[in-house]
Amino acid sequence: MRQRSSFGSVLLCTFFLGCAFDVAHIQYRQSQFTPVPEFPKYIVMKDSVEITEGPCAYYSRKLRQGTTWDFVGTIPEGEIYKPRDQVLTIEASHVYEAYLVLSNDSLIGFYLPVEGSFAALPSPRKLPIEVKRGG
Amino acid sequence: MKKIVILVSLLIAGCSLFGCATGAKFTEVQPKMVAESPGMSRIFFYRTSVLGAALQPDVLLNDHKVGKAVAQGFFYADRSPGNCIVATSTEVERKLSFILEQGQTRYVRFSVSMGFFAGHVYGELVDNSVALEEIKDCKYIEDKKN
Repeated sequence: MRQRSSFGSVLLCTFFLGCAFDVAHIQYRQSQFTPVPEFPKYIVMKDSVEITEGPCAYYSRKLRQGTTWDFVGTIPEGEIYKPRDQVLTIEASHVYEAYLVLSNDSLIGFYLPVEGSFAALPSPRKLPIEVKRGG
Repeated sequence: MKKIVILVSLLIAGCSLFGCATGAKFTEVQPKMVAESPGMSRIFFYRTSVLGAALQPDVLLNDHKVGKAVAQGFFYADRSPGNCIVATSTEVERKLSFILEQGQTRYVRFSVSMGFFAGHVYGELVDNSVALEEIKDCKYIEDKKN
């Protein structure tokens, strides 16, 4: 009888472990992107920033010091900045290219350009940035 | 006993090398870094690690097969700008989504993570400078169809 229950437990574990590889999802929602005709400003990251929460909880991401990010458009949630010299993705079971979404110089989440969606941080994060005018 | 150890070592070495790419090195092939047709863009796909070399899943780009993720191998594909979704499947499907702009060159590296019955091969978007260093010793996978 004990053997049977052990076998059942192993089967159950196998089933759930098998599933577990594909359940790490990033929460995001559709958001309307409005591009800006020219890039009127850009930001420079004054220090490196490591993000470990929200969409970066599974795999942390580092915004490197000295990298440049172009203001390319807006969504209702905030302004979108696309990296000029750093690849940025967010990752769970799948990997998504991502741009920064800022509001009042704080990072509030990520814009996923292929999905046309916004993935929010749990709370805004002040970034060490320098805002510059022009493209 | 010594013979058995040697035999097992050779077997392990053979298994880890089995399934690795065998074509010419990236530095010998010297492929163009940009797409040859105007208006197109180029994506390089490569896999540096020999871990799980026997796993060689098909690589689908927007649902069309463009090659296989072979250990220590690379290949490339020219595509029109737009949305790209790269998918690989072993016991689960892994997807990578990114934007391809006109004239742009992008690099997708395949890595292997642990799975339950088999490893998972997944693609990552890599900075150009990093990719150009990593891809140097990879070997060209000529036959993209199989």
